[in-house]
Amino acid sequence: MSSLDALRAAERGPQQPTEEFVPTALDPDARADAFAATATDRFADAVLEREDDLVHRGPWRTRLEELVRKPGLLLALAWSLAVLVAAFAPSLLAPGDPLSGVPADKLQPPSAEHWFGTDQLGRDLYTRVVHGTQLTLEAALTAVLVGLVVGAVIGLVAGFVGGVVDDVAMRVVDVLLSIPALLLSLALITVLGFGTINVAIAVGLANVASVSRIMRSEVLRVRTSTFVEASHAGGSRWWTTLGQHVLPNAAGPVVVLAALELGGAVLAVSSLSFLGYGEPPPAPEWGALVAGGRDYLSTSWWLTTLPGLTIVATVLAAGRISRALDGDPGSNR
Amino acid sequence: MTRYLLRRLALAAGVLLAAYTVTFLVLYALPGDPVSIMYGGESSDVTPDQLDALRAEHGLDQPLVVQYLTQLGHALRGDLGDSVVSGQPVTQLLGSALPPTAQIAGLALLVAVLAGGSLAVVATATRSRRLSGFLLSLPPLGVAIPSFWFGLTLVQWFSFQIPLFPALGNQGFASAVLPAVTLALPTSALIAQMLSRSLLHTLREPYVDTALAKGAGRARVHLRHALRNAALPALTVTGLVVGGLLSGAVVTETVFSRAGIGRLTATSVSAQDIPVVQGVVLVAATVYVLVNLLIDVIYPLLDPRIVTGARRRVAPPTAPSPSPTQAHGSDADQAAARVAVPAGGTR
Amino acid sequence: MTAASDRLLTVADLAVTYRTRHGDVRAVRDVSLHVDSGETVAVVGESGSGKSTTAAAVVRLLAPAARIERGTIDLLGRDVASASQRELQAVRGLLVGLVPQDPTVSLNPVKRIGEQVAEVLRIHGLADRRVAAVEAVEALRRAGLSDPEIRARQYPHELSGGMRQRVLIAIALVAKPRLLVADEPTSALDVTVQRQILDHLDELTSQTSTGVLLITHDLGVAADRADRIVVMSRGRVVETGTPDEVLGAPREAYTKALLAAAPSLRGARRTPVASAPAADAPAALEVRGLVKDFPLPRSGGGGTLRAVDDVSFRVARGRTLALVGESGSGKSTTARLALRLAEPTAGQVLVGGDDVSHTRGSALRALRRQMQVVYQNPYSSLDPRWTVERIVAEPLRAFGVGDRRERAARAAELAELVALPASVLRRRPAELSGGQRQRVAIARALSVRPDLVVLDEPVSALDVSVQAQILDLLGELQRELGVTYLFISHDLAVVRQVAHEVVVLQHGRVVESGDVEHVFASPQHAYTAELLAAIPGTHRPLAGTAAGPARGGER
Repeated sequence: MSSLDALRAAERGPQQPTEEFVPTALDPDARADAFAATATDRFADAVLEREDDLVHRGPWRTRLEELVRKPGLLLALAWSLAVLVAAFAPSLLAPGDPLSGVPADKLQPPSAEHWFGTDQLGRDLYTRVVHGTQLTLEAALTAVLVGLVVGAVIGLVAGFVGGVVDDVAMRVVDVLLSIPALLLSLALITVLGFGTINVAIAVGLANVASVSRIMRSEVLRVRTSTFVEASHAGGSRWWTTLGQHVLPNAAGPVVVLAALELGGAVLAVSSLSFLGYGEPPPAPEWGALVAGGRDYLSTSWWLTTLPGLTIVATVLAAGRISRALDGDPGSNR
Repeated sequence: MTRYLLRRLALAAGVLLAAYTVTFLVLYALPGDPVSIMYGGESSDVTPDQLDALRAEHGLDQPLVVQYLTQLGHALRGDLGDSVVSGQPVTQLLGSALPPTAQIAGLALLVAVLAGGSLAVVATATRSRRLSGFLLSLPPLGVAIPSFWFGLTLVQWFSFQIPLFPALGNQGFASAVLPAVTLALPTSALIAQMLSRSLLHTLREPYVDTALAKGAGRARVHLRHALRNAALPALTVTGLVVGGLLSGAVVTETVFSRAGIGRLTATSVSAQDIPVVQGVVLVAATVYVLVNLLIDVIYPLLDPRIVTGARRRVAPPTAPSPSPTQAHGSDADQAAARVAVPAGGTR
Repeated sequence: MTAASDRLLTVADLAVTYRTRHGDVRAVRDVSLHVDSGETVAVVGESGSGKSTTAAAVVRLLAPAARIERGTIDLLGRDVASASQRELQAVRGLLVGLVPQDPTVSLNPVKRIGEQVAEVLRIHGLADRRVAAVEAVEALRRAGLSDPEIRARQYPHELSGGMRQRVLIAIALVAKPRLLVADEPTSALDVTVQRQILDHLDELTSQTSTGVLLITHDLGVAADRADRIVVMSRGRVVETGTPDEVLGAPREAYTKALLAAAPSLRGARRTPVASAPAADAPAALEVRGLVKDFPLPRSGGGGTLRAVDDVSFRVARGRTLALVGESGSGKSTTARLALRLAEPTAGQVLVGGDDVSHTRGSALRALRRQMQVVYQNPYSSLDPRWTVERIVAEPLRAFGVGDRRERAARAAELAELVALPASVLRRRPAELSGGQRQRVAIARALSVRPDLVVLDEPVSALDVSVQAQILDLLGELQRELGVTYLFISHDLAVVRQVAHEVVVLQHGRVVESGDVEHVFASPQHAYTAELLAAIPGTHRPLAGTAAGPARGGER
């Protein structure tokens, strides 16, 4: 959780000036003319022009081929699909009952019959992991939704309105950032009580600060861009500009962030459920499954290892997809 | 410089006060108060009258503002109230829990900076594409591993399979190794990710080409030119990194059953012991504020572009020089009007 | 020029390719050139011509995606093209110095100036720390920096762009290399600074008979500075020769076209002067006593900066008035004030005779229908997510002109007006070239048939040949539609071709104004005269150039 916060904080970049316009004389890095500043753009034009003699393929075909060339991304997409199926139709993947076991088969290592082995009550671990997906994913999605919606609204308003509103909002965000996200979640849980939904809300609210910060800087970046001023100078009303230029252009990074957040939320939710603040047992939340295996650590490695690896794979997949959406080298946005 | 320092100090105090206020609002202003959370609920056999008596005893029947001011007054005098569970003063609980946590957190920070830093440097410096690709794929993996699971896996291998370190407890240095490694994993992954990204970006800067054109070797360019510039943005998130170590301690100390701030937090949350939770959050905020204050003091020493005091002495006006440099006028103006570029945003 | 003529650099059959996603792009193919001692060879070409790649290949500082396919680069007997990293380190700085393109980002921001200059000597073991420091100061002095001792202790951000470029020259020359590669050394600087720096570079290299490989997009610069010119296009050398040969009697069609497009060399007006306006008709735009103060950040000590100081002018209907000045002169701020995108601190803005200085709300929006703007950077002034049709029709929609079908029809009409094929209407900006994008921006500005268009450096982000096309287009449009232009530019050569009247700004003040031909022929103010003298291409009288006779702007 904290790692992701910091990552985003690092991407904040220098803050944009709040003044509507900074004269070039004030900007130490102002270049005397746009010719030097746009050298790479013009070079790209020239390359594009030269590419005429290269073979051109349809965008879909190119995209598919690019995908094939990235086995990591392909794997991430496949895993995400499996996780989604497990969340919404767990019986398709594991028809058994996650809550009842065969005591005679207790603590069996992974085998063809029990892919992930069995726990101390003889319950099939694979079935439990599959059926636990729903709880964990639901909580993570709720958390992301809460964090994104509240954070995005605050960031959007602060960035677009500016002035005092911006100042106040950002001071509050500064303060919230001074408290580590997990601790803030814990404080909220103390008050809200335990349970999946409360954990989700706590994780989501703890992320509001960082999301709003990113949203604000995105809005500022777009708002101060030339094409937005051009729209304004062209006679568009401010809400038209906001809705048609600023929002669509600021939304891209937010989608990237959402994917990244989902990974972080899965981590945070399972940490809290590991600590015992989620659904009470025997609900098979991923974090709780790992916690349940603690007592058999020396004898039954699979009880902690396999649910743990499931979490790792899910978070990795979310991160990989987020990077792909962010336009990693070689793919167009 | 003194004025800058005073301003930073005032700012830090402000953030701390605000953090206190936020925790107060979260813990006391939301529906439900400590007494009803502790003793209320359907299963409780405490009567409403008894609840009210308890509230009066803790001052919870007062209006919110009065509660806030009274508590703040106490807090300023170093009294954070008593634990609802054990009745011990919160400050005393925090005081005894802090040293063991500081021990593993400090060790973890050291490991993380060394491991993360060297990974980033090697990954960006190596000429082998494979090695760099492999190294750069490690940090995302490190960030994705839940630390509770990593801790348990370490115990499995290095306590049970190969009994090198104790699986739990607070006894001696050996017992601190596995928790510190657990705590260091996400932090080092984060540092590696930030620094390698920053280094890759810096290595594409034109001034790196300038250095290469001087005839500088790769090592010189990497260590003398790129690293310092690349480390600056990474430095600004140290506060978050240290805060991350504190929240990581909650999980780590639970896994290893170690006494410390984290364990105290976990048990207090489980018991819904609000004064203690508030104390922990305050400690975290204080650490964050102190770390950032330290960075604010160090940063101008590392980055000459940050103006600290009153107007920095700017280039003296160009004296009438032999060459026709009068047209430097606009240039000189630009230099005089130059503004500090805040790196990584202001806090 | 110089008698000594030992060969420093010989590039033979050089081929460099860039690997891109869609295949290999051959950036440089079969390029051969040579530089002798004491000689300045200018490589001229437009973006993508391969000139910068050639320069980078000479010091082997190519982008990671680039690869030398074939050819040799012989530098004083060493083949740079196949040298090992260690051999390259011994060559760079010592035998060949590099002056990079953009001085604002080419110095390490956290190291002192003196240290950065001395580093060259330290790397090559030419001096110990103390001696290197002394020599660095000396090199800075030679590069024309005043107070070199003070500069040596400063950091790059404390110096202006021009001063930073002098530092980079000091770095390139401190170890006294035989060859200097200068890649667009002044294209990021103001003209007057550019001239001083190039003069100084000339002086330094001729004293030591250093060979110079000068890369530039500006034919004027090449004409002024080079002993030989190499014209490149699409990765190939098109033509080589002395400036008189290449500029005076170009053999290749490409060179001729390039010459015809270069504003500084052509000199003559692009557009015939429109009929003189009636003197008493209300001006399309008039500003009186405009003042704009910007608050300075408190961290810098506070106070205000007066960006525009008592500026007045009027633009007659159907004419073009140019606002000229270097960076920081307040020309762009003035344009923003005129457009009512910024609030003036004092003064009046009159559009069509009405005072609109304090118009707000819907009246201001209505005013925007009369005034439109074209920005300088076509790569950032169009929303990347919109189609060209939608971009062009945006003002129409903003003012509720016509229904969807009519707006589409108008967009098609506008595309034709700015000479864009109808097929671009469905594309997005990223699929268009810079010139095409600027046409889109012009079409957008003209969509609501404004009386006045403010052109904020409309061609400064474009290559010369594209520049010429856009300027021609603007002229045609003015004649056809009778639209009035307020033309902001730093480039006097361009201004001379398109404007009727000119206002010269310096430090936010008007220093001179009047009829273009008049001001150019006999500038009254010293600053104007200096600006005119700094236009590249005016140093060397060219015999028999097509553009020759019209060059009246000489000192």
